[in-house]
Amino acid sequence: MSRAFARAALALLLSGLAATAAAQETAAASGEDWQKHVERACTHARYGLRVSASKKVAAGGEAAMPFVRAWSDQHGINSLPVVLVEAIATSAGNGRAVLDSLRAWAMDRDFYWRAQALRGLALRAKEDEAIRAEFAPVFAQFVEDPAWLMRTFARWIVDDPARDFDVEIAQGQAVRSPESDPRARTKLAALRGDARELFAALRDARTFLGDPWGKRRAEEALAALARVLGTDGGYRSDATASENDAALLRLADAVATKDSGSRPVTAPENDPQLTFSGGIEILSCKHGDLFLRWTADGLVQGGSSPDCPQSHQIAPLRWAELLRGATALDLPQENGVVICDKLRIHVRPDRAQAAVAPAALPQPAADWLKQLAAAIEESGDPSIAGALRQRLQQFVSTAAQAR
Amino acid sequence: MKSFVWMVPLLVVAQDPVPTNFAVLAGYEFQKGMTLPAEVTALDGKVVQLSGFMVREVPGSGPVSQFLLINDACGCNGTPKLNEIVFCALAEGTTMEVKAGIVQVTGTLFVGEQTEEDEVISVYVLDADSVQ
Repeated sequence: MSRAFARAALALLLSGLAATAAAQETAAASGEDWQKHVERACTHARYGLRVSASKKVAAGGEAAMPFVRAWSDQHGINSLPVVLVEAIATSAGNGRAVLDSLRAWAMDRDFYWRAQALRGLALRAKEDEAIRAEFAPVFAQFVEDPAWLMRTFARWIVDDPARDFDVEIAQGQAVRSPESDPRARTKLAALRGDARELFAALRDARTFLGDPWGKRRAEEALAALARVLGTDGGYRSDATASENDAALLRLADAVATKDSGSRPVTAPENDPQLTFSGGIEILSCKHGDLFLRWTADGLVQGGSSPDCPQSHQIAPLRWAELLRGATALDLPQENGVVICDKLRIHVRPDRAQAAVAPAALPQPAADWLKQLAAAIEESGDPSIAGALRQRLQQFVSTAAQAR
Repeated sequence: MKSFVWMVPLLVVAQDPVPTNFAVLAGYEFQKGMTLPAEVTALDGKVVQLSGFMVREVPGSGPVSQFLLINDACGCNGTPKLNEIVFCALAEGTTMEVKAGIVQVTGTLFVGEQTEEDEVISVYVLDADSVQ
């Protein structure tokens, strides 16, 4: 064991012991066995019981937080499950220990559930001016975050039409580009109650490598629109377009009435008329998503959102060369233990897709994807090639990295 | 071979499956002890077919004999609520790899609160006959 490692381990142990001692004192005062509740929230085999234990911990607020911290110190921050973080974000009160934990989690780029933590701060900032003022720099920091949920919760506060964030903007902390990810636009519209933006998402039927993400977006928009308007107009997300015609008109009228504007129209959003033979999807709460799909003749579409806004044609000879080596992507269906961030590989229509956890991508597959990045760069898009190379770093196996 | 086996139905399904989806199953705010919507209880005991993502109940690796079917590939966009999860169980003694991407599951759906230690642990349980 190296000295540095031993020192770090000792520091972690002492920190954990101190936190545990503080936690035990708090537990004695409250009469609840918070340590047990936290452990159940983090480890119980039953999802439903993890959820109920998480709610119990959240309800404990300040009294329970030392035990959450002790667990995190002892087992690592990513041992905290999303259900617990989300419960604390939603309903643990506004005590100092809760706020500090949410801030620390939101600021930790290596924490899978930082967006849930930022949402917790945003929910409180919406209700409490002092909290809003205190955490304004935190929100301003994430308005351009590569992870779309982080961006969305930050923009919910920073871009609040009813507020003035000019101070932060003037400080250069919140200069932001228009939101290009359809998922983020709809989520933000749902948070704001923006009926027009929600209406515009209702007919999204786009997919990515078989994943009907557009349908989910439309369902989220419909649910939010029904809350905003007080009616769903009889619209059903599982009905055909013609079955929904009348309901769509009713919703359009309701939107126009609500904001005293013109009646909105929405066009169907469908996949391009192309057959994609393969692709990869990186879903990362830490670093942001990346989507790439390709046709048999080397047309590659991609981007940080599943609508794949960028398109490039790889030169035929280069593509043929790449395809010959594509067997490197023939992986088992599961590679490593996925907690949150994952790489999905769809190499051929006739082969099962593979899921890869961080640090579990075999070197040959990583090499092939790097060659793909080079080919994309040669075709004229250094940005998406650079994004692919950067995202791969998280997934390349540790054994390969050590070489 | 095991993966291939799961590409085809394991059992002959006696009745035509009723197509359903998460818009129906999750289209209401679930509260413990509530009366579930008629649209949902009508599916109780029926052979249904629905699509979603396979997720382990506990993170891990290797073949599974049961799994959660959810509507979103990543739980990041909000923790799934109990009526947004179908708890799927394979036939006795059968296991399979967790598939990446969308799967279509066919089997008998059981609707209603299952409790353990006085807590609701599931609303939908499905005896899966096939996973494709």
